[in-house]
Parts: sequence; structure tokens; C-alpha cells
Amino acid sequence: MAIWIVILSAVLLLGSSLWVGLSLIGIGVIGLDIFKQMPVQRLLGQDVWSSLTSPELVALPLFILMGEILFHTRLADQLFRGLSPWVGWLPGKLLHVNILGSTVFAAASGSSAATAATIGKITLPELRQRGYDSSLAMGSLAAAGALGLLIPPSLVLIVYGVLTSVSVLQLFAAGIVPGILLALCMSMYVILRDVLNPSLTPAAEPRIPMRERLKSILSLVPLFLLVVLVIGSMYAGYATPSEAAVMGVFGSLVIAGAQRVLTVSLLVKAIDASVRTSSMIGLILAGALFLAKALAFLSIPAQVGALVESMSLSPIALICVLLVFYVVLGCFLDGTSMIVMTLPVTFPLIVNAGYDPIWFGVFLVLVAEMGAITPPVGFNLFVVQNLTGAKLGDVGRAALPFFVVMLVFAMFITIFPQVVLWLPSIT
Amino acid sequence: MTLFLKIADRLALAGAIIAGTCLCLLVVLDSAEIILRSFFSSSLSFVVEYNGYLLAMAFLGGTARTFREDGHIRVNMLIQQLPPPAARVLDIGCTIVGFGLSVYLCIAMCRLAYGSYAHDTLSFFPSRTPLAYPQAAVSVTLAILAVAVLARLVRLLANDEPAGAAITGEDGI
Amino acid sequence: DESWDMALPWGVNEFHTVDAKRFAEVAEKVTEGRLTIAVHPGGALGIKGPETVRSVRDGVVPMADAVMLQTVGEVPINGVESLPYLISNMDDLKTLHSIARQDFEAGLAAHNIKVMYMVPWPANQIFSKKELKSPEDFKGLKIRTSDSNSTLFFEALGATPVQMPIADVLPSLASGALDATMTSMTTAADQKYWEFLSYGYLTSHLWASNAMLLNMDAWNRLSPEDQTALDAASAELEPQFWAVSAGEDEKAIAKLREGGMTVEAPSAELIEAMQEAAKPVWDTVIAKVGPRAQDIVDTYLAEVGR
Ligand code: NA
Ligand code: NA
Repeated sequence: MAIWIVILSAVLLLGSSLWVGLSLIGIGVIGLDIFKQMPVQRLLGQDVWSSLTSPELVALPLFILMGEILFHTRLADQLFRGLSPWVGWLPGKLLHVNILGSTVFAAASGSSAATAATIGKITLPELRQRGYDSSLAMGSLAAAGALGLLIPPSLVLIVYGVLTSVSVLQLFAAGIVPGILLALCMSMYVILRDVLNPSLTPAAEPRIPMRERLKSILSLVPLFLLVVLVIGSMYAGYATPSEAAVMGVFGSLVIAGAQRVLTVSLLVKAIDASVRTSSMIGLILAGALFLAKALAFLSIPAQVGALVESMSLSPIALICVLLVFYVVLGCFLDGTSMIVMTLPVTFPLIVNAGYDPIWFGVFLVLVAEMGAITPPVGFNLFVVQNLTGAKLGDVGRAALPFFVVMLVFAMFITIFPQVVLWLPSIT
Repeated sequence: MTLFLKIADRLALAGAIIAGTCLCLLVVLDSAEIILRSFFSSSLSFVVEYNGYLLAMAFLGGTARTFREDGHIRVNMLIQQLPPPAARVLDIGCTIVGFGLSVYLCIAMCRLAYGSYAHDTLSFFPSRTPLAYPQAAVSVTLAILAVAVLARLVRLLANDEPAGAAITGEDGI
Repeated sequence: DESWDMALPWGVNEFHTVDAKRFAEVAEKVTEGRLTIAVHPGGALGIKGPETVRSVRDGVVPMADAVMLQTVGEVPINGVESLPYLISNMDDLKTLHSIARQDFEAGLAAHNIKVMYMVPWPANQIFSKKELKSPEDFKGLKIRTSDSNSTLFFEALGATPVQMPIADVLPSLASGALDATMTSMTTAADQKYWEFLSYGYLTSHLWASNAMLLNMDAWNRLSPEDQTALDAASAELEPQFWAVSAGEDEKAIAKLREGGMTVEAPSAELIEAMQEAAKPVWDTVIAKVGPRAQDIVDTYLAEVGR
């Protein structure tokens, strides 16, 4: 019963164009008010407070700030100049920069929204200016941002590891191969689209001699140093994962300084834009996290779990049912809260069916990331929308094919779990 | 009425400035902690705790001004399909509901802050900060948001701001 | 009929969660189904440790499990059991509880909360990357602490206590941003500490219990017979839960050793230095909590003969 009221109010509030963050709060409040005898407003106040004061989230606004500072430097131009001789001959050309950039940045960032926001701030304006198809540019960015959680460090995998007593190091190792393979799959899709319809990308640039190519690498040096700074500070034990973003901000200031564009007005502009993006994400995050608690209070995951259990499915059918369940849930919630909320229910089911807990962690991250690109509530979609000003529906449509790629990939790792389990088994 | 709108906009701007300041403080505090811990074998015991408070302000301080600039996300498929008069009515309806929810949210945070004040709740971190203060600050940002939503309603009803601009989604609503 | 939600921050397999599920089953049985308790482990309801007292007081959840040490923001006296080197073993802890439990319960009752049962964590131990042989080895040791008692304690030892969010702890231990951390053997074994750390020291320097909190209004909605039955059930279960906790330590130590960690008792020199560092911390904490804390500590010390 409660589940239908929740769905109905979701359709009504979100569908009527009420602001997403407020809608999510409204949905939770309605469900709890009707079905639970509890002080709903007290839960809301406390939950918004504790969610938005979680120090784990500090990296999010700081990485956004780093991206805003870099936006005012020549880094984007350098990135494209450096990479275009290398990927320019491949169908899809510079669209691969989105995917490649996200894959590299994923190794520095523990969240997908931060990955999409940072890379997108650099790549999207360039791609648009160079005449690339905006739909393919937006879709590949939103989807490749997902790699932020699959490739270590990953906030979600840490949470999963702590909640299920699975080794975080092994989880991190397990994410690497699928992360890289998924990036390749996304690139393959971009190649396929460009081969079928060459008008999606600008005309091929002339072949560049090897000498020039090697020279072009030099323009990648600042970006390379930045990534080394962020990742290196983390692995060398100077910064914790949530502090590493500060190193990124610091590095971006150095780059701006070296390029002689570091002015007070640049800083004000960058901070201003970061505040805008952070508050857009903050309100939705508060709403999504509250809604997840509301659903848990309504025991909706437990009911679904009991239903699934009663069907006594074969292991593979169980995964298919869970996949559907998480895709639907992912339409409305953010990845981390979705996992925290459902884990007590789904984890025992999965272990009983004989799946490896390490494998399931990676599978969950993948489905959580699919949720980040499904409307109406998809954080990566919001990030792209915020960057481009495109309509949410258009961004969602642009990301849809990549969603299908991820769906197929999820089935692929279900059939071939060794893709996930191989690396942890040898480390 | 114009005075109210002016005040609402000023408040929203003030909130955004505070959010920006908090964001900068986050950078400063975290840098200090990294340097002290890595090179001086020392640690600022309040950083994790105050990171949290600053983060909440960085997230919510600018929310009113983002609202004023139509920077918050809505799923506007329906509103774009409707003929302009109906779209305007729907938009007014949404803004009324949005005002109700933002007031509800603001009261929720105020009650939290008041509860902390009444029970003298201290943070469990070594600093033992009275939680009422940072919670009151967050309540203020939510009050500014509620005022901004009300200001939008006033503008819509007064036809001050053409509803069409907000509805077509040209500037990324 | 009553149906309550119970919030637990612990993972599904944690022994406190298993205990809580057992309590929920027994509660349903002894009230003949008039009371059902839905257990929500893994922090699914989003109620974090330091907020538990507030949540139960306000009725956000009728029941929740809280580490006493994390409730000191609202009930300062609950920090007394976690004075460093006050307790040496579980029998000592029982003695302390026999003296101070009424104070813990009274402090929580002032927040409209009833305590159903209390169960200790196995003692907190020190886990380190490098060997800790003499007090000198503590100098500059970056050790993660999460409460003010142990922050003061490690400062007094010359170490560098570091606060960081829980999600950062494992990566920081792996990367060397942290040199050491303190937690129970069970948590260390659960999170596979041998992957990052070589030494575990059985310092047992700090003890902490969990209290299963219950909103008094929810309690008062039960019939007197059900209340009696429930009280009897918790009284019967509590010693069993304590026994579970005591048994967990041995299992965890075996698991850590199997993983390759050196788990040993600290040197006499080290123990002496730590006990010395602990005393001023007691004074600081007792001064903050008030004279009743001094009474408790004095009575306790007399009873255990120290
Ligand atoms: Na990552
Ligand atoms: Na979604």
C-alpha cells in the first residue's frame, strides 16, 4: 500500500514540475505522514542536518571549485590540443576525451558527480565549439562520470566494505578491470555511432606527423601534473580521499598562476559558480537522502526483499529481478543511499544464492551508477544540465544509449564474474 | 511589495556570499590540516567537525540565490507542453507548494536548533561545540530560501517576471 | 498492538545486530505478538551515533542502539566507563556498571529514554603499522581517535591524535596518512586490518558499551503485563549478550593472527607509560562531568582494590 502512495506522490510532485529537491522531501513527508506514527518533521530536520554535515562529502564542492578555476585557464585547450593528434584519427574523434578524461579523473575522485562536473566543465564547451554532436557529447560525459565510483578510490565501495565486512582493498582491486572495460565499451559505442553517421563529428583533421604528435604531448604536462598531484597526495599518505580535492584546488590555482590568469575577479567568478552548482546539488542531495530514509522507515526494501525471496528464483533470475529493482529505485535515489538502504535486505539474498560479496559490491556500484543517468532524479544528468543549459529530457535521452551499454555490461559481469574477481584473486 | 522583493534578493545574495566564504574556509582549513599532519606531526582536532558545518553552509547558503536565478532543477516536461495560460497556473501552483515545503523544511531545521539549545546539546567531538549555533545558521539559510520562493510567487502573481522565460528552459532550468 | 522500528548503525553480521534481532524475536514471543520490532541494521534509517539520544527522545525511532561514549554530548556521565585504563577486564566493567548503571539510566531517563539492555564492545586495542616497544615510539604517532577521552589520552602520550570521517580511515591506514588506530579486535578483524597494519597490541585501554535505548512514551503504551514480560526477557538476555561479546575477542584475535598480524600484549614499560598518561585525563573528564563522576570512580577503585 505505502509503495503505491509513494509512487503516486512521486509522479504528482515531480511530474508537476515542482523543484526536484523539494519534491523528494515532499514524497518522503507524505509517505511517512500517512503510514507512520512518528514526528516526521523532526526526522527531516535531523536528517538534512546530518546528511549535509557529513565530512565525507567535502570533496564534492571542492572538486567543483577546482573545475571552475580550471575552466578559466587554458587547460581545456591544451587537453584537446594534446590529445587530438592521438584520438583524432579514431571515429568519434575528440568525444573520446570525455571518456578518457573521466577514466583518468576517476582515479582521483571518489564520486561520480564530481567527476562529471570537473571533466565536463573542461570538455563540453570545447566540444560544442568544435562542432561535435551535443547529444553524444552530453551522453558520453554523463555516463563516463560513472567511472568515478567504479575506479578506486570510491566512496560507495568503502561504505559497502564497512557494512558487509568485505575487504576494501579487494573491492578497490575488483573495480579496476570492470572500470576500464566499461570505459572501452563506451568508446566502442561512440565509434559505432560515428561510423554509422559521420556527420556527428566535424570533418577529420589532417594527419599530423609523428614529430608534431610528440610535441603535442608537452601541452598535456600541466594536466598530467595536476592528476599526479591529486592521486599522488592520496597514495603517498599526505591527504585522505576526502581531502584530496583540496590538493586539486591548490593545483588548479598554481596552473592559473603559471598561465597568468589568476586574478581576484577570476576567483570570485569561480567561487560564485561553485556555490551555484553546489547548492543545486545540495538541495537535491538532501531530498534524496531523506527520501531513502523514509522508504527504509516504510520497510519498502524489506517488503520487496521478502517478495523476491518468496519467488525462490534461480541465481541468474535473482540478479535480473534485482537489476530491475535497482534501476527503478535508481530513478529516484542517489547511489550511496540506495545501497545503504537496500543492503540489509539484498545482501543475504545474494550470499545465499552463492554470489561472491566482492562481485556484488562492484555490481551494486554499477547499478547505482546507472541510476545517476536515469531521469527524473539523476545526479550526473543534473550536472550536465547545469553545464549546458539543455533540457533534462534531452540530457536523459542523450544518456539513454549509454544506460543500455551499462545494462549490457552488468549482464556481462554476471555471466563472466571472473572479470571482476580476477584482479582481487591475484593481489 | 518592491521593497519585499528587494530585501528577498539582498538576503539571497548575502546567503551566497556566506556560502562562498565557507567554501574558501574549507579550502584553508583542509590545507592547514594536510600540512600540519604531513609535515609537523600535528593535527587540528576541530577540522573534521567544522568541515561538516562549513559544508552544510556551502551547500545551503547559496540555495536562495540559485533559486532566484532559476538554477534549481525541475522536471519540466509537462509545463512545456501546456499552453501558456495553463502553464502559468501550474507554475503558480508549483511555487505555492514549493513555498509550503520550504517553510516546512525551515521549521524542521529551526526545531532541531531549538531542541539543541533547550537540551544544551554539545557535539561529541573534543571541541564540545554547542550544536544550536551551527544549526541556527543553517536554519537561517533555509529561511532565506523560503523568502526567495515567496518572492517568486509574488513576481508570478504580479506578472513581474514573464512566466514564459522560466518555462521555456532556455537558460537551463 | 505496537510495532516499533529499531535503528542500528552496525552492519548485518556485527554481533550487536545479531543480539538485537534476537531481542526482537524474544520480545515478540513474550508479548504473544502484541509487540513487533522491525530491526533496521546498517544505518538504513540514517540515525548516526551522536544523534541517537535525540532521535529516541523525540520519538523519531522508538528504539535504537547507541555507543554510550557517543552520547556524552547529551549525557556527560555516560563517558565515565570510557576513562582510559579505568577498566582492565570484563569483570571490572561489570563492577563499574553495578555502581554506575543507575546514573547512566537516570541521565537517559531525563531525556525520556528507558534502557532495555547494555552490552559492552570488546575492549579497544591499539593497531599500528610500526612496532610500539617503548613510550618513545608514541611520539608523533598519527593515530585515529573518534572521541574526546582518547584524544586527550593520546595527546598526553605524545602521539598525534587525528580525527577523520570513518570512510577515510581504511584508505588512510593503507596509504600511511595514519600510522595507527584504535578499535575493538572484532572491528579490526571484520575490516581485515592485517591488510594494512602489522601490529595489534592488547592494551585494553578503553572500554565502551552500547545501550539499547527505548522511547519512554512507546514503553508506556504497552500493558503492564507486557512491560513486566519484556523487562524479564531483557534481564535474561543481557548476560547472554555479554558472554557473546567476551567470546568474540578470542575469535577475532585468531582471525587477525591468521591474516598475518602480530597480536601481543604491550611491554610492561609501555603499560606503565599509558597508565601514567591516563590519570590526568581522568581529572579533566571528571572535572567536566561533576562530583558524581568522582564518587563513581572512587567507589569503583575501592571495590576492585586499586
Ligand atoms: Na574513483
Ligand atoms: Na536516476
